[in-house]
Amino acid sequence: MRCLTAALVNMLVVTAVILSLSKALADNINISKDEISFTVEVFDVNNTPVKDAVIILTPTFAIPAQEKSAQLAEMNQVNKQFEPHVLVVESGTDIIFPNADNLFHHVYSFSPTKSFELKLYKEFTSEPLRFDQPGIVDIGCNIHDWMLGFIFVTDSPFYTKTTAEGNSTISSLPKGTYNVSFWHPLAPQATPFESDSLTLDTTTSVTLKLEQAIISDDGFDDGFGDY
Amino acid sequence: MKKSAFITLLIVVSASALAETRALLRVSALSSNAPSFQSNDISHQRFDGKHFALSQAVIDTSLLIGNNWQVHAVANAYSDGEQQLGISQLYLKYRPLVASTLKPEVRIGAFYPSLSAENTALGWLSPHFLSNSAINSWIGEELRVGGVEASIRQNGRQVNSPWSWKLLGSVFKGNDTTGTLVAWRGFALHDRQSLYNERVNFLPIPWVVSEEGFNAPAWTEPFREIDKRFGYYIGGHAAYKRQYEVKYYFYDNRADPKVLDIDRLYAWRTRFHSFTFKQQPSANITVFAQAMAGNTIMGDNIVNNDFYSAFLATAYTVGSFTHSARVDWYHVIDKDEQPNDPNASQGQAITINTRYQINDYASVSGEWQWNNGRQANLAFFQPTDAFTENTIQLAFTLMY
Repeated sequence: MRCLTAALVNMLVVTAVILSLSKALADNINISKDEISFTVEVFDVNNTPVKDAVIILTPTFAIPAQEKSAQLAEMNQVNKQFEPHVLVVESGTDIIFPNADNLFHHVYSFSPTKSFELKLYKEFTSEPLRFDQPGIVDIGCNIHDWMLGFIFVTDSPFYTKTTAEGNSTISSLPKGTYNVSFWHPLAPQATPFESDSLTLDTTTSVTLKLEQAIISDDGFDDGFGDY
Repeated sequence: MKKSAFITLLIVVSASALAETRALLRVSALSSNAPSFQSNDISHQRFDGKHFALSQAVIDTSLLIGNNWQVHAVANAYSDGEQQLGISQLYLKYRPLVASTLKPEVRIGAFYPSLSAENTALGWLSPHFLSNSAINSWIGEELRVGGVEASIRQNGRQVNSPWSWKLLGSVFKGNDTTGTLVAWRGFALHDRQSLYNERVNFLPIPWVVSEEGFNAPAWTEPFREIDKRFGYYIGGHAAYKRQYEVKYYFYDNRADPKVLDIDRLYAWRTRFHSFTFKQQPSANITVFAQAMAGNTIMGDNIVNNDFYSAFLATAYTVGSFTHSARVDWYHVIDKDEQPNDPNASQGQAITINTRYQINDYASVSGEWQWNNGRQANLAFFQPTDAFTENTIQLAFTLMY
């Protein structure tokens, strides 16, 4: 009798383990099913695609804490321009500032988010700087005033920046409700999303229209002196 | 000896990691139909006859000193002229890093006012032509300031505005003979910048050089201090994006025209307005123009001339070729009543240039220039006051 009881208990335990494993497997399947993608296209008032628009999706729900590995990003200087013009990073990222030019640059920012100054000799890369605080860091060069770049630091892992074609996609996005924000260096006040939050249950594409013309100004800089 | 030592030091400093250095070497094969003013002769060209020349050798270096200071020096060598090796610019630049978008800068030393529409390459060379316009040939010959320039500027991109601007003012000395060449030689068209302490020759106008006449030398030293008075200039730049730029300068050397020195060089009171326009509709097309109106007075109304000049130029880059064309006009009006020293002149010039960029460092360019006009004092040396000059130049340039 005692043996029979022990056998039944063992069977129950095994069954419970199998059931819990099955549930866990099912949950995993559900998690992957819950991931969607979000595509955005941005046009200005003249229907010209807008590049360098930053879209941040901040989840209103808890997301599983992920151990952050040290991230490294690069803000280069090429032909007296910052490359890229707009860099979006998650807070805690280290950024290096190589100088690809055969010229001196004197890169600085007085932004409250991150204030710094780097003297960059010819074809030289400085030690990385860590960007911990979320916010917008506008950077310049004291030798070449026309040089202007932006580092957008966000706490959310879900962000993107539009390409030259004016579009971009955030993939592997958990389903749920997000606060959405938009920023462009030439339209810092623009709010093209219809509301501040979006509930994303399925793969979604949105088209944003700005009420102003965005004329890119990051072209050449030769022959205009030092101002 | 001192000069050679200084230039050797400059070359050593140029190679330092703290120096931003550029260099250029240009050799030219030339053909010009009239004898040059540099040989005290009649033409307004830098070269004459048919020959080879070292037309430019330039070291242009900026040495960083601390966070906010730079020393900027330009040394030049030429195969022609009274002095073949020397310094054309040497100054300290203070450009502090400030949080405000209104940014100050100070230059102290020997430098050009930044009034040229065309001399934007290293060592104040033109990126488009082998020769400069009439206006900037004269600036390169006779105008440099030894003094202080202070400016304040704002870059539009930093304040989300299409407009960038700069306002500046300067006080200086050492530019007292400026005006001599406009009156006695007339406007010229070339790329020979005067070096410090260098003499520039011109045609020996009989009354000017004779002992019974004015008894002045047939040369000038452009940066000599004669009357110990300060001159000044003020200027403003405004740029709309990287598409348009205008500059205005007013220059007055405030020289006392009645003061002369031991070499019988007078101080010439020279004032002018300069207006510059540039348009870059795209990275490969540039349109630029400059106009100048001024007056120079020497002695007790011995010379009193109004002078005017303007040019319009364009440059178009297609592939490795850059094609450039310029039209110049100039006019000197003689307002004094010194019959032995007629200064009136007027003329026009066309310059056509094509450059082929072989690689990042080497290029070849061909330039033809036609310069035609009348100059009253030429009648002392030839049957007529009219002149027509043709210069063809083929140049090979190495640039680092």
